[in-house]
Amino acid sequence: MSVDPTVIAALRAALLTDPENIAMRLHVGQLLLDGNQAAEALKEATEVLNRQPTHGEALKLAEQASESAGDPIRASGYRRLREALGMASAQNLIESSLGSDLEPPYRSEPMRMTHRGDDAENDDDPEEVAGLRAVTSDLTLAQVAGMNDVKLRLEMAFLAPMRNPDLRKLYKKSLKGGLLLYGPPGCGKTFLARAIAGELGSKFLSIGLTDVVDMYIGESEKNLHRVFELARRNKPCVLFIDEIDALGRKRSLMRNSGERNVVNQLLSEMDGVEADNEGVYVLAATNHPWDVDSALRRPGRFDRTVLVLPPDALARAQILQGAMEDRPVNQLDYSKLADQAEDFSGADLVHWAEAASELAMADSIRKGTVRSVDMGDFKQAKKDVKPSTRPWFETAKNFAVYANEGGTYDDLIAYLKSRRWM
Amino acid sequence: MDPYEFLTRARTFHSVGRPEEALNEVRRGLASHPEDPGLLLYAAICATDMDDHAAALDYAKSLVGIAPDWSMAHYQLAVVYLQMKKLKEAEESVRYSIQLDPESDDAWAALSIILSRRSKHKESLEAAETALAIDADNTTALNSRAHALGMLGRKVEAMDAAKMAARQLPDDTNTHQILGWTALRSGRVDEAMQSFKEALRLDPNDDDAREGLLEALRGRFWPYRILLSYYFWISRFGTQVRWAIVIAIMIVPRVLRGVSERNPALGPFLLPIAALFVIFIWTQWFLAPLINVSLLFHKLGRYALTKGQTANALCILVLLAGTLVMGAGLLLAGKSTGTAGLLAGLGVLALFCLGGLGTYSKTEGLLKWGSVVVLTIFELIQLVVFLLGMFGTVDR
Repeated sequence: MSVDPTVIAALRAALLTDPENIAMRLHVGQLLLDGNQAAEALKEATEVLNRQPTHGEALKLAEQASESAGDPIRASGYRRLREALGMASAQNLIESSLGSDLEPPYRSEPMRMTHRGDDAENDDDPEEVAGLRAVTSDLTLAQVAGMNDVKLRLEMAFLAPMRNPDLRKLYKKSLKGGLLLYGPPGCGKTFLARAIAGELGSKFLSIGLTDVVDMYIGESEKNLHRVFELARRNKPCVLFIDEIDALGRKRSLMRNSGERNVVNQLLSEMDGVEADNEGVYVLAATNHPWDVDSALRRPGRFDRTVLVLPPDALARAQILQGAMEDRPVNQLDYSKLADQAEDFSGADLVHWAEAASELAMADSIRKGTVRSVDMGDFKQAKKDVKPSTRPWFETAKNFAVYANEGGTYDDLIAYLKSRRWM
Repeated sequence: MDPYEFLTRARTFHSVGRPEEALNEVRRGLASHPEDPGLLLYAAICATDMDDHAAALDYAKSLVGIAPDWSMAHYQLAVVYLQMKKLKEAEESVRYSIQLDPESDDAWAALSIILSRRSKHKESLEAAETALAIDADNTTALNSRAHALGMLGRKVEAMDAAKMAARQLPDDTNTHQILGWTALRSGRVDEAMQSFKEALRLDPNDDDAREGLLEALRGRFWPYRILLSYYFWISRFGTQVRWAIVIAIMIVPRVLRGVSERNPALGPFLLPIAALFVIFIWTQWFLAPLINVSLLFHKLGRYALTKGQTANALCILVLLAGTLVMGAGLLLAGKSTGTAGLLAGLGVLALFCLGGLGTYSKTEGLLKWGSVVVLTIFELIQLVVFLLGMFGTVDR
């Protein structure tokens, strides 16, 4: 495996400023080993062992490096030490990330959005650890239909300070922190998160529900730590945790302590206890904000909460138009359609557009001539498409009434009142 | 993959509140290991959590078929039956499970719940105490014990038990809800309200706690507190006894009147008692819906009312306002008091109908639309009477 020497040089330079970063040092060691520089790799490994003599991953690296450097006696020494410490059989995350054939303990979610624009940035191959990749996003907030209030709040709270380092310094605004997006399902929380990453020009790292479950099954705390380390190495980086109510679940709802430990680990990672989180923005999304541990809402963690509402009429028209792009259409009045689709989520709208297209296609097959999708198809398709956001608001209303401690759901209450649902 | 791996993933999904995904995982496991008891058990648990009764019953029954000697299988079947409100079957299954494993605190706790639903509160208490003897921290049993004591009228012990449970399980919605009901039974309305609020804070969709909050809010009015004590007293008995009491109360005034007619000397003593009974019966009929009207203006009360109750209360409000305005109009215009009296009579009749709907209608739809229809009919009649009284020739 060939390793780009400039990457190693850059990482080493970083190590000079942050010599205590063990994960990074081990990573450099591994890259050196992969690049057939076993002696150098061994040096990094011993450097780590000087600080933490029983570090399992460092011992493993030292063993492999000694082996490659042609020093089997030393290698067996490290191996015996590892066995004595009971680590030899431990299937740890480092091992799988070092090119083992084993299934990685967690995978990144498949990308839900296609990248627009040129692929020039992809030449600069992003780092990959254990299948989880930090990628850049070309999406910008301008490409997100509607959500003007949300965008404005994001701009003020987050984006503007980040784009203006001088202002940031002047006001001592820190470059770390978190933002929790919540709202009914299918309204673009994930999409918005990617757009924020694109807007910031930063790397984007996403963990979804399956990753979380894999994380619980493996060495959970360590896996979570690795994810944060990856984000820190890729800074500025947006770490997006989808369905945060799973990873950061209210501890009172968890039955066993192992699961609660994951939440504790998430809390300490977000606080940056062991490492500096400067440049790592943690975005999270959930449909069940009431199941999220309240400790995650404290200052320094997800101290800002943004309600992502179903699209307004203008956004609905844009979403419909987007969904019908590249399809044969006949005199579709998108704003009229949008008016008929109140409370539809983005996903509902796309579903509606697809159902209408299907009808036109079925008709074309029947008649043997291609017919464009028209208003009639939409009218007919609407019978099968119901807005999916109402049940969410029903549940949310009760939480807003009875569990609005510290004004958590003030946004939601304002919206419910504006709709006269409360 | 061996079944254990599917099970581990399913458990994790389940513990982070994703029973659907957990069930998918279990199903995948069952595809290759269709007779694995662990997977079947978990499938039943997930389906139960998703309120998919038919699927849960299917899984639980096949589990019992495959592992007839496993106490957990029968226990899970009992849980499914309990959720389906098939109490007899549930009791049978859980007793079988206890036979197989008498040391299972969960099975005893489930038995306690089932017996409580069957209004066998003494046996329910015993089952809860057996469960607690095995595991003093069993959540269900702690709650069920407090509930049973309350139902048995042992107020002091019930209050102690409920408070202890609340200290032990501060994050349990059920516990706070039971503490609320226990406090309400002892007439401690404010404490009850606090407990119900706490229960709703933990789980705003807990319908029992919402109902409790509603009762506590109504209980701020003393006449309703008398009614509540009656309801609590009567709820201790089985269905048949309850009906007997209700019918007895209906008959008592007639009997008293009959006796006093035959013995006029007893009249002055018996007739007031008969009157009290009559007032009590009518109070039952429309006191709660009438108090609901005042809750429309209460910060929490507004949300504690269901949609049907809100509609019913609004209808009563409109009726009262309409009757008052039209009656006052007639009187101020110097028209006959007879017409105003007719208006008032119609108002009382309408209130009677709306109150009956509010107290006794079983479905939300009937409550809402029934109220609207009744209100419309009576308001139209009242309007005709009013117009005739104002401008017509009926004036005598």
